[in-house]
Amino acid sequence: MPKQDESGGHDLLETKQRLSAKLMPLDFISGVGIAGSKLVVYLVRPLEPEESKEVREIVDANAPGRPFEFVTTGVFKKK
Amino acid sequence: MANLVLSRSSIPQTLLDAKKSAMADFFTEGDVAMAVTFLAHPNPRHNVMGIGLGRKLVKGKLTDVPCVRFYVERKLDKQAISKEFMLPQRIGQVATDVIASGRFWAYAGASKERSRLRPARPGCSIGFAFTGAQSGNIMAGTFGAVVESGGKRFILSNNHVLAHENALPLGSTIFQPGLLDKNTPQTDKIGKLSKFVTLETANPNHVDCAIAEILENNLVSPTVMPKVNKLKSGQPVVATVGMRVEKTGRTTGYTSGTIRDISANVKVGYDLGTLTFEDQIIIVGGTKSFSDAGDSGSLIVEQKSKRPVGLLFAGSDSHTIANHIEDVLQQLNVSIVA
Repeated sequence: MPKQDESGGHDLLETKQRLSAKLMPLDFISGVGIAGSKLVVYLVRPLEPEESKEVREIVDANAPGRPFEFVTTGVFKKK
Repeated sequence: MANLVLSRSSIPQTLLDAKKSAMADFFTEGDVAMAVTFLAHPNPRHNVMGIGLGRKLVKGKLTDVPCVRFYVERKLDKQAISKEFMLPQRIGQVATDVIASGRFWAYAGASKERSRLRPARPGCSIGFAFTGAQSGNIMAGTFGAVVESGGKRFILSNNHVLAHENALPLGSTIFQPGLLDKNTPQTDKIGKLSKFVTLETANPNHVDCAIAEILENNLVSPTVMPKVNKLKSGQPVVATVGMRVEKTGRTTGYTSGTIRDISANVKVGYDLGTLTFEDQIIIVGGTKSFSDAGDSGSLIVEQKSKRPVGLLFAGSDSHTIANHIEDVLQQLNVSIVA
């Protein structure tokens, strides 16, 4: 059941899904989410400069003009 | 009568070398932490709690034979351990001994959440018994909530806590506490696996949940363990970014935190492989981590309204992931008893 965020609505959810499809296959990505009106790209570890460039290009192509942030979480595991 | 005297100042070099070798081969902090919090495993790297030097015990009596002593969480039946995982009988010329010491704690004793409780309450330890090739492993997770459907009451937790990631048949016995915390399956049966939502490896998941029918209603109470305590209502509240939440879980007890994300797509490591979950809640703790291994299944509650908001199932050291509780209740077709 998709949740509508407080500020961006379904457009932001669709953007997140589109971005998620592109970013999730990358090893160093642990997730893609939404915090308020911002997109969040969750990272397994801090990115090397070329990895950061690659991710920014994917975000720019799939979510042009959308604010986003990187958050390093580490690897997610069942608890 | 044994009369070999061993003191710290007179340990033969061969014994010290053997201990050093055993430490390198069978003891790492990370592995021990995993065993303590969630699972005991036949691989000695996951079961050895400590390594020391002393005299060998034979039939409960000290002998004169100096040895390297492996302290293990529990002794496993030899048939449950494959040859490659057997602890060695000798290290070089030095004999070894295996002592079941249980887990070592930082002088805290067993927490209430890990104890046997009747009535059992949400927040306490719960789990299944491994079967087949994995017999001998032991585990524990968290009892999340009492739920009801069609006049029957059930324990709510995760698929991976009650159904071993799709592996167990319906009707499998559920124990409180989980066998990792008190390995007495004869006396600690509390329910039987009734339903689970299958974890998908090829498609995205939305929930990791299962229910177990309670054997007798008076074995459980719906009041969550301190300091969450009684819910104001079992009716879910919708998660919002910035919402202050709390939980009581088997490993870290009571913790509070803040919701940071209400629609995250994440990759999560399971025994089945790396699974994808869509539309998840992400929480960060206040002064300490919101959760740790063994807290899976905990009900996450909004602090202000004392109403349920999520079901904890995964995370990293710094971030905790939960299913939206309304998705869980809808998929299982149950409601929470407050």
